[in-house]
Amino acid sequence: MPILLIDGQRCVKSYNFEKFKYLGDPLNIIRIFNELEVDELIIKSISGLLPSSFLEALASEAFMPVSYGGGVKTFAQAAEIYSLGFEKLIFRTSIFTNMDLLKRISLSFGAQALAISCDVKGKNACLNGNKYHSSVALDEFKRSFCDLEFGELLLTSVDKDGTGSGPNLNLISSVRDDFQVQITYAGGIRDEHDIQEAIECGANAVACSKLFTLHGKQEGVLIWYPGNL
Amino acid sequence: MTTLNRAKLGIISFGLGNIRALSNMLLEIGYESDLVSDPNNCKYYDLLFLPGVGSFDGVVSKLESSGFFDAIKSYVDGQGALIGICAGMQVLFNASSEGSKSGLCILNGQLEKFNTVKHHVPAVPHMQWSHVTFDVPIFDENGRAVNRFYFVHSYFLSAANPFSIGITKYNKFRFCSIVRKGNVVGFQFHPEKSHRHGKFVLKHFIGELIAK
Repeated sequence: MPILLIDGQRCVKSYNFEKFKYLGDPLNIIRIFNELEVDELIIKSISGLLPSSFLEALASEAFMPVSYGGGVKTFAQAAEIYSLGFEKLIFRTSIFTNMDLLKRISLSFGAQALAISCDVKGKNACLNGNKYHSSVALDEFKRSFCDLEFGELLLTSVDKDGTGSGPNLNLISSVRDDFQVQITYAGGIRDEHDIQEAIECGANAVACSKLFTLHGKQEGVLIWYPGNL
Repeated sequence: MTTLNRAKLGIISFGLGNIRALSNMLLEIGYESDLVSDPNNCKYYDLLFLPGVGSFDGVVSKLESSGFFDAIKSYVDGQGALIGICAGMQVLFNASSEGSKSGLCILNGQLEKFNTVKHHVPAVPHMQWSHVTFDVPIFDENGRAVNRFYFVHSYFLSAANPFSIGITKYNKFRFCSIVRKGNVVGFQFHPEKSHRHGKFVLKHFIGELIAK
């Protein structure tokens, strides 16, 4: 499934969670993914909670289920985003700062509507971009939400992000046994062979941003999606 | 008589349901639609959509408090065409096994909740892409089958329901995923979240319901 990273109102691609490249208007990109019959879309904001009117436009443009992550801090905000047409919300920092919020969301909207984002750099889980000073040991991160009822773990390898150097299979294997939920892996996927390997290692689904948006050595912007995935 | 793409389509807006994605998809297939927030205006439409999310009782309560409950019943009694989506389909029936409110009773039947043990399904709600086997298969303009849709629901209608015109299997459990009684059609799935399949199933049934 594609991941769209949004900065303000622009869609961007990250490299190791920094050095962002401009891809285009998110609404246009969503329209193209509609035509390409993408089954599910992940939208993450790196500029804080996006305005409701923009979120509504994104959800209304997508003719497939959509997840959103980025800057949601209150129950009221979460409730509004679900009502705008998003199927799932993705959380990361709130694991440490606001676990009560996550438990309340799980109770009110269902575990299946809640996803946790685990962004791994080396042996640490990042809590804010890829900044080393705001990361925790991966084991500690995993322990902090083992009591929470949620539906999906979005596992991203920050080291592999944007590199197109293949998935971090060790990471997938090391996390797989700790969780029963759906694990969606992201980071470094180049082709269908990489997707297959990630699935064989234990991922239930694979998410890609570069694979579906940039093409060739010059990494020109080309939105595509293979029809038989 | 109005021609196909000049038909008046309305989407009932009563506070629960993802309306904009539906109206965008209708536009893509050539239909403009109004948001209908005044129940007195139902009679002006050739076809009404009833989108709904949430619980049976929750949707019924909202329809009652907004004045749409009786308006929809009158509209259907007057041979108006109606498409119910997700919870909007469920409230067309009599009741839900765990709710206390009575539905619109336009079609006979009762909704039951999925149970992981009883029905051997992996999770509740049924929240995923699943196949629909239509009694009469539907194809798009390129001859490709229209048969795969996105579902999000915890309650289901029995596959044995007499108004069923399509079945879905969740794991191995069969339930009814689309119903029809005369001018009233109900989709358990979300066509507005099912890209090509959603567009064509809407086009197919809109065509059937407003062709006179």
